[in-house]
Amino acid sequence: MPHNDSQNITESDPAKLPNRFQPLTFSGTAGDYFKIHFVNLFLSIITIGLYVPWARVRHRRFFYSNTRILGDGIDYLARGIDLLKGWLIAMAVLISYNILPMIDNEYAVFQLGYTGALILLAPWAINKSLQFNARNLVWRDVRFKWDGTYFGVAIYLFLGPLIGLLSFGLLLPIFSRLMRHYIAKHYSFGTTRFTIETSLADFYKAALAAVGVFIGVVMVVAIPVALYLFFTGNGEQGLTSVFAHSQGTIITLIFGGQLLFIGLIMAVTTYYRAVTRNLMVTGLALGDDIRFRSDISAVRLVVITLQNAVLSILSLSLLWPWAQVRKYRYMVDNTWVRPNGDLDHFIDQQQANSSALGDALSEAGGIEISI
Amino acid sequence: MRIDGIFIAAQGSRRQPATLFIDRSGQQDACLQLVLGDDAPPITVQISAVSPPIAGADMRITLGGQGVFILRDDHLPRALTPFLPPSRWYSAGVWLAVVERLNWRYMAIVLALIIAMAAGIRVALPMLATQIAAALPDRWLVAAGDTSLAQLDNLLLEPSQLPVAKQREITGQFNAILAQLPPDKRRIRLHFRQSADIGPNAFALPGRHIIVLDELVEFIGADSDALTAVLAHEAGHVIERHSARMITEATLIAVVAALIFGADESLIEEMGSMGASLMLAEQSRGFELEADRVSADVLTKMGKDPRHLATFFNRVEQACGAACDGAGFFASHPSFATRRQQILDGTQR
Repeated sequence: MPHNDSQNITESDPAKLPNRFQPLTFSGTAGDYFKIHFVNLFLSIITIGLYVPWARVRHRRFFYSNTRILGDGIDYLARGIDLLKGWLIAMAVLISYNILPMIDNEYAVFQLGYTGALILLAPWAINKSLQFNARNLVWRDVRFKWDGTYFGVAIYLFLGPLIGLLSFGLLLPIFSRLMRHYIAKHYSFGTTRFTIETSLADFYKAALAAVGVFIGVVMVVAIPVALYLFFTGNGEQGLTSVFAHSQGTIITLIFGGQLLFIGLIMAVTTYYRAVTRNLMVTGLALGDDIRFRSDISAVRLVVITLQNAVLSILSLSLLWPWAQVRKYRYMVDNTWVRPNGDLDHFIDQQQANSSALGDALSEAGGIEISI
Repeated sequence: MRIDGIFIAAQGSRRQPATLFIDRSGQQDACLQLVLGDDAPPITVQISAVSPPIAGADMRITLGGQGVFILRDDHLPRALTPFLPPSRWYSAGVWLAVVERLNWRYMAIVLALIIAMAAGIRVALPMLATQIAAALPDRWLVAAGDTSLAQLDNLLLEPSQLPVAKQREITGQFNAILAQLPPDKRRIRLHFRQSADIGPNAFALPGRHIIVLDELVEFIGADSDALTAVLAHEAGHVIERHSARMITEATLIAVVAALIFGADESLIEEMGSMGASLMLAEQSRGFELEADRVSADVLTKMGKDPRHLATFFNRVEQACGAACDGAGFFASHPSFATRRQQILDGTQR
């Protein structure tokens, strides 16, 4: 199906593009993604997970290719087979990590070492993943590029946020700004670099709002739930008593409390991320003259996120594809680019693929960085 | 035949409208020609790669060495098929795209198959867990149980305050229970502890440990047969390897979930862990009934009334009111009514 909405921009002479902000558009539909998602799930189950790398590629291609910047989609060139090897290694790591301690107590110590090794490995995996994915993202036949380093990722993406949290959030805005700057500065489009300018005061304003929500939430809901969990001792694994010492209804309540807690944490983090994303994208420039803008409403995004979560749970995840498309579309629709003249001068000099192992490992660790 | 699109020359972002022509004028095979803009001279091109179609997205056709031709459609026109390079991946991709665009009636079948497979896994996992747990060497379970006991002693449990004479009496009772078990299952040890946090209860650890709390002994008082029934129930947990089965099943669920979903969205993970809790809680309730049956068996073999456990449940219920019987989907134990019913059904047979 041709996409008429983008036709008038893209088919006209690019040199005549007006010098003003144009919204990104999303050409996928929830119905399309629903089918892709469930075919992915079906093939993943029937192949006992072997299909997962291909499923990931289909998933990413659907979202990237349908994200249109000035009418042209972003191509994702990685193939399932590229991801498979890394995926197998990541799975071996994950499974041995889960199973070894069950076999013998001595492996409990081993698992500790394992955890340490994985922590040291994580920045490497993230760095490689960013590199791999950037190289496989192409817009108008020019590849993106990530040139971060192990230590850069370790410091700005891991240590910084950790210190931010340990300082009870007091330093978090400084570190989240540093992190966003680090990410932006190490991406380039072809041979042209991204630059970024933001003000620290804006990050503190964002954090203040989010912290306000957070404190309110913790006072009202989290502390009672946490105390209750602590005193009822949820950790009775491997312990089989003659009758339950906490009653069914209360256990159900605890689960409800946990869900509520997750929802509230989700709300606070979504809020903060939305505001700082706006700051980052709006401060971003490509080369000298191409500017971006993001004007997501943090409150609206929180509402969408929570509605999505509730609907997904109530529908036993049946509506999840719809929810995902809805949220993604909202973010794309509120992201803008000001091309300032034609975009014909970008040059790409990169070689093709790099290793996908880092990508699979960071995926398996559940860490994904996206802008 | 003409196909309109956009051409982007290799390694640069310069884009221009272009047209692919399929030229059949020659005597030999048809050839593919690219015309840039409206009036540039045609260039003969070859397709070196095509990204498999995906719903909503443009087709990206790589013209070997020259650049990329972008087609504003999510299907490849059939006319181009003869010009495609032979690629099994591409054919698989096309097949996939067809499946992904089946109409809703067929998608309903896919959904039904997913649900059926999920149900299959749901049934198979506990069975598999039981098989694996049965194959685990005793040594491992004992090691796991010893560690748990040490941890519980550190965190939750206090030394028992029961008089030594009372402890001896209960140990004697316990040995009488062990005598009713198969000879290879008699290595279970009874420990006395105290814990105000947990309250009147007794529990089993993997391997060989049963712990009875002072609070339970006090609660039961003079009714020594009730204590026998409870201890036999715990012995049931140990000999049926319930802890090992539980832990194995939890691990299997984690591994299968990781295999199938990867570590996907955190929401799916949360839902997965809720689902896993439901499965494990259901399994746990099954184990309780199994242990109750062992208790009834042991009591019968000892020449006692197998209904002592049921009587004991009545007392617990009276002591803490109806709230104690709050069975539910997440509960680790079945309701007292269910458990009493099973014991009574057993005695009538």
